[in-house]
Amino acid sequence: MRHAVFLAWRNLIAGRLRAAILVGCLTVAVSLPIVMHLLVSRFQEQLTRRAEATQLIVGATGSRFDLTLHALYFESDAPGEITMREATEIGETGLATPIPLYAMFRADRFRIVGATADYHRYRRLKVARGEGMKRIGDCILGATVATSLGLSPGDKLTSEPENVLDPAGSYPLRMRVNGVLSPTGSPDDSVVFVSLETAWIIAGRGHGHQNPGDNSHSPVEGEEEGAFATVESFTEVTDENEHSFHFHGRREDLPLTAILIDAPDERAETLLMGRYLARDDATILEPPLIIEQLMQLVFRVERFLDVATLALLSTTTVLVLLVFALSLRLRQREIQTLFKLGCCRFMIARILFAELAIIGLASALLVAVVSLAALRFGSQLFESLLLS
Amino acid sequence: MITVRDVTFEYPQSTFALNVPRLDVPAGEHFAITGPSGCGKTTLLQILAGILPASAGQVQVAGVELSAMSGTERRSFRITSVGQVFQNFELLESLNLGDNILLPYLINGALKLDAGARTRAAELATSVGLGEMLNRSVTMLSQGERQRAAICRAVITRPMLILADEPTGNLDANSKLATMNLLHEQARAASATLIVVTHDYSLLGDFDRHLDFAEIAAEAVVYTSEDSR
Repeated sequence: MRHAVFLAWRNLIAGRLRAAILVGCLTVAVSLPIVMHLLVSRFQEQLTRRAEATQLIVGATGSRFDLTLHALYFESDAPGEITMREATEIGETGLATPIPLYAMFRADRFRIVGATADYHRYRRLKVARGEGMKRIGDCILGATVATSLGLSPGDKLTSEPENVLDPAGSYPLRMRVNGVLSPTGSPDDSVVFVSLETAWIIAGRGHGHQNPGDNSHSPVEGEEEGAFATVESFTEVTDENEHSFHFHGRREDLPLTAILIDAPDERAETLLMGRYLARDDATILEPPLIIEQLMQLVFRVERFLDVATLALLSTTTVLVLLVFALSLRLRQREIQTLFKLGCCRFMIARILFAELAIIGLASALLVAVVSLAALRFGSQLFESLLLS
Repeated sequence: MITVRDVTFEYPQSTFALNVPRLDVPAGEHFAITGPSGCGKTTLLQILAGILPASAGQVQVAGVELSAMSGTERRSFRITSVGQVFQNFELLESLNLGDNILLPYLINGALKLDAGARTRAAELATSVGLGEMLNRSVTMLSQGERQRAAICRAVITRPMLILADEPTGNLDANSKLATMNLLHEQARAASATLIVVTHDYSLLGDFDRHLDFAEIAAEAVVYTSEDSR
C-alpha cells in the first residue's frame, strides 16, 4: 500500500491545481453544514446559558424577541422605553430586586449600557484593571472592548453622536475609562458600562454648564479673549463641572430600556408576572421560554439549510466523481503502461483509491481547520448576524 | 529459449488475425522484427510479454508455457522476466527520472524495493549519462534522454527477455543510433534476449537475425544478419 500511496501522492502533486480544486470543493460542501451545526450549537448554548441565568425581564410592550435579546445581549434595540418608575414600583413590592438598564447608544460600535451596581453584582462582573465608576461620565469597559479599542484606565472614549444630521441634538459624551472588567465569555465583554445617570446625559436628559473661561482652547489669534468661547463638539464631565450636571424633571420619569428581575424564588416570580397580566404598556418575560421559541425559529432555518447543503454536497460529490472519472480517461494511457509493465488491476485500483483517500483526508483536515476557525472567529459574527 | 508454434490471435470485432506458424529465438540472441504497419508485430510482442493471451498455439519462453498460464501468472512472469521499451517511452510524468526507472518495483509487490535496487537504478542512469538527472522531472528531459530512461526501466529487474516496440520511432538519426547501441549494450550486460520491432532497416546490421513479418503468413522467413548486410 505504501507504494500505491506514493504513486497516488506523486500524481496529485503533478496535477496539483486539479487536486486543489477537488479538495476545495469538497471542503466547502462538507464544512458548510458542519460549521452551521457548530455555530448554531454554540449559539444555542450561549443563548440558553444567559437566558437561564436571567429569571425575568420587564420592558415596553412590543417584540418579545427584541426585548429579550436587548436585555440579555444588548444587540438588538429595545422595542420601546419604560420609565424608572417601573423599577421603583417593582422594588416597592418587596418581591424582587429590579435591575434597571438603559442601553440606547454606542461608542466606537460597542453598546453603552447604563446600569446600577446591582447589575455588576447580578452578573458577577469583576474589575480586572483600574477601579469602578466614581462619578458621572465614568465608564468601565468589557474585556473585548478594551482589547479591541486598545483602551486602559485613564483613557477617554466618546459616545457616538445620536444623529449627526441634527445640530440641535445632544452632544456626544467624552467618558473617562475608569476600569476594565475581567473576561466573562458573555455579551458583557463587548459592552461599555456606565451609570444610569451617565446614560441619561448621553441621551440629553441631563446636562452640565461649561464655563467658557475654563476651556483650554485659546481663542483665535487677534480676537478679543472671551468674546468667542470655543464650542466643544462633545460634552465632558470634569472635576470642575461635575456638580453643574443635573436632570430636568423627576428621576421617576427618566427612561429605561429594560429591567432585569432578581427574584428570590418562584413564588415571587409568579406574583410579579401576575402584576403585568393586565398591562398593555409594559410586559414581563421569562427569557428561557423566549430563547427556546427563538431557537425553534433558528432550527427551522437550519433544517432548511441542511437540505440545501445536502443537495450541494450531493452535487459536489457527483461532480468530484465525474472529474475523477474524466481524469481516469485522460490517464488511460498511463494506466495501460502500468498494466503492460506488470501492474495488476488491484494495484491500479489501490492507487486510485489512495488518490481519493488523500483528497478526502486533505478535505477532512481543512474542514477541521475551517470549523475551528469558524468557532474561534465566526461565532461572534454569527451571533451578531442573528441578534442584530 | 523462445519457441512459438502455430500461434494465432484475433482481436474481437476486428478482421485482423495473427498467425505465426513457427518462430524460434535462442537465449541471448538479438532479434529484429520488421514488416509493414498493421501486420501484427506489436501483437506478437504483446503475446511474448504475456500481455495478450494467444487464441491458439504454443508460446514458450525459457521453458515456461505462456499459453497455459492465467492472467495473474502471466503478469508475474512479465514483471520478473520481461523488460519492455515502447515507442513513446511511456514514462510517468508524475514521477522523477529515478522513480520512473524504479517503477517496476513500485507497482508490483513481488519485487522488493531495497537499497540494492536504488543503487542499481543510480548505476544504470549513470551508465547511460543520466546520473545527474535522477531527481529531475521526466518532462524536462529530451526525447533521447527519455528513451534512455525507458531502457534503464526495462533492464532494472535484470529480465531474461527485453522486448522493444519501435524504440527509435520518435528519435532523430543521432539519437536512434545511440539508443540502439545502448539497448544492445544493456541487453548484453544483462545476458538478456533482445527482440526489437523496427521499421528502420538501417539498424538491422547490429542484430543477430531479423524476421520480415510480411512473409510470416506463408512461413516465417528468418534472415540472418549476413543477409541484412
